[in-house]
Amino acid sequence: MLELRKLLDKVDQMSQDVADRQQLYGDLAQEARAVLADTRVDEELHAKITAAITAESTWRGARPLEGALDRRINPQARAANFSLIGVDGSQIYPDRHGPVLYYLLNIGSIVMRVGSGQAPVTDTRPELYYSEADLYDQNLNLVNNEWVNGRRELAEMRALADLAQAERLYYAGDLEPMILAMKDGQLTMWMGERAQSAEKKQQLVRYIACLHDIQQVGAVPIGFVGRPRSANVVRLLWVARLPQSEITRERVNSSKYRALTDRALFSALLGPNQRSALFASTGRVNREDFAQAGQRICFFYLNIARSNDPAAARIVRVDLPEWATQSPALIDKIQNAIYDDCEGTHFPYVLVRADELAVVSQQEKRNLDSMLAVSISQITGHMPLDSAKAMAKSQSRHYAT
Amino acid sequence: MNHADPVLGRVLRSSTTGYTFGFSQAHTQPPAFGALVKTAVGDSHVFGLVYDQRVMDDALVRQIVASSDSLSEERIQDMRMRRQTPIEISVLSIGYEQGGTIYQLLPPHPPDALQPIFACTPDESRRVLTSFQYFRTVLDNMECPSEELLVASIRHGAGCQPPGQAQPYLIGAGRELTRLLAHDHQRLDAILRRLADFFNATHSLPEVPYG
Repeated sequence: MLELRKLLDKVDQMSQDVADRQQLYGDLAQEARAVLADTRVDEELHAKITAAITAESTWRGARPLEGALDRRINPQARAANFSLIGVDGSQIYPDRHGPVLYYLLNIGSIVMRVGSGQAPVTDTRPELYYSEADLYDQNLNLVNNEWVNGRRELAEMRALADLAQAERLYYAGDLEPMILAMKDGQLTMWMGERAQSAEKKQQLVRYIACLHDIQQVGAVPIGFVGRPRSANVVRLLWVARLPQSEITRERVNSSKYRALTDRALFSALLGPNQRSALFASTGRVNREDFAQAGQRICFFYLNIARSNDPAAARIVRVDLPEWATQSPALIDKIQNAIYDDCEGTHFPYVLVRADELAVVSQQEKRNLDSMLAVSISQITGHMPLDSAKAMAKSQSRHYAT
Repeated sequence: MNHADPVLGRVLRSSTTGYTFGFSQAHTQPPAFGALVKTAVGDSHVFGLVYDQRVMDDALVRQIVASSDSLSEERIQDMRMRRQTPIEISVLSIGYEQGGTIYQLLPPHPPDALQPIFACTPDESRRVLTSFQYFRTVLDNMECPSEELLVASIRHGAGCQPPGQAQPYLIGAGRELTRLLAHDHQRLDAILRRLADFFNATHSLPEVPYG
């Protein structure tokens, strides 16, 4: 039970604090935009970036890939007929208090052939994991949610690669039609706490192999971040302001702009369907694993709003491999395709639908638990039950609602 | 009932007088207003007339309709054919078959939830709609647009008759209506006027979908 009246004073304080911070961040963002406009992309800047990485190996800044930091690009080229693939995943985490120990991944996908007038092809791939090898790590600990998320991320990328290959076959191997293979979230793999574990490294190798598979069929993998919290460019600006001799670990980590996001930076800069310059994240996994495999991930920010009002800007981040950015015309086509697909939904339609297909509701989870319990009881003669704790909580919550 | 027949959908809810089913055939048109459909109840088959079809919406449909100036054909096809936005079809029960005999009476039991629904063939429609006792069932029902439904049903019934039999069928239907509605001239007039044009054109009857 949440007694709201006990929070009234705190809510007032918090509201004032949020308002004060908005004012502060607005001033900081304006200052950062001035730095963005004044900073030249030259050897000195690249040397500072290298120095920042040397000083702090985990520094997640940005390396510019185009001639100016404050570029605003309106796309010219537009693809007439192309395929948009959207994939998203959902999961049921292992539940110690459930009747049976398992976890489930459900991958939803949609393939939309833009310009064809055809109904898209949709699919779901549910997969149950219940063996000891699935459920326990090398130290015999039950796998945690982060581990399951990693498996889901890998399954999403595998589905994207499979669908991209199938789609190129649909075009009989003709490389002319553009194929975009899109997932929700960043394109680099989230490494988390187990970044150095053997299993995670293995997952990463398989994930990057999927990117290769997509590249081989001439498709482009895309990571779409709808409300980015990243601050790679803001961190770059802080380092750009520092004299070369002052780029130390301590100085790199004491950014004046640490509370700012790139979204705040670009929201007053980009108009509808304008993109920023291209950048590559300097994060370690991108630098070491993705780049060394020829799959360095870069990104641009894009305003998907229809209105010219800066207050209504919807800044999103688009991740793609560097090899897909070598043709300006292809970047233009990608930009237009994403912008168009966001019309009406403020998010790529194919990802809205992939999410809808993938999502597993609480009711569906309960139905699956019941199905498993009945099936097991028919073999063993005993009905597996929720733990006493789970049942007690379920009953008390039922009465509370 | 032939298991090879396509299942139009399954019963969502039912009562003695009728039922509603969820249409699940993405690639075909739903049965027309007034079409005859059937479902199994125990060892009998219950026949009914389609009298309402509701295309449901949801939040995504509303968002897209409200905020898009132009909709791509792919999105329209996705919404219509791939998304699980339900189409609910309501049916008025008018008779049942048991032991090879057709009774134009309300069935003893309603169909169970999730029972499959099938379209009737023209031959079945001819057999079920041969007599006109079900007119009273339709006219007395307050939930369906009874005059419109009766006109649609008579047209379907006439369309299923052998060549040259449509006009005698329509004359028989008209006589039964006159008998039933002798005390309600306005209602009788409304139905007969709707049938008149069709009666005059019975030499070129259209093909009737789903019987």
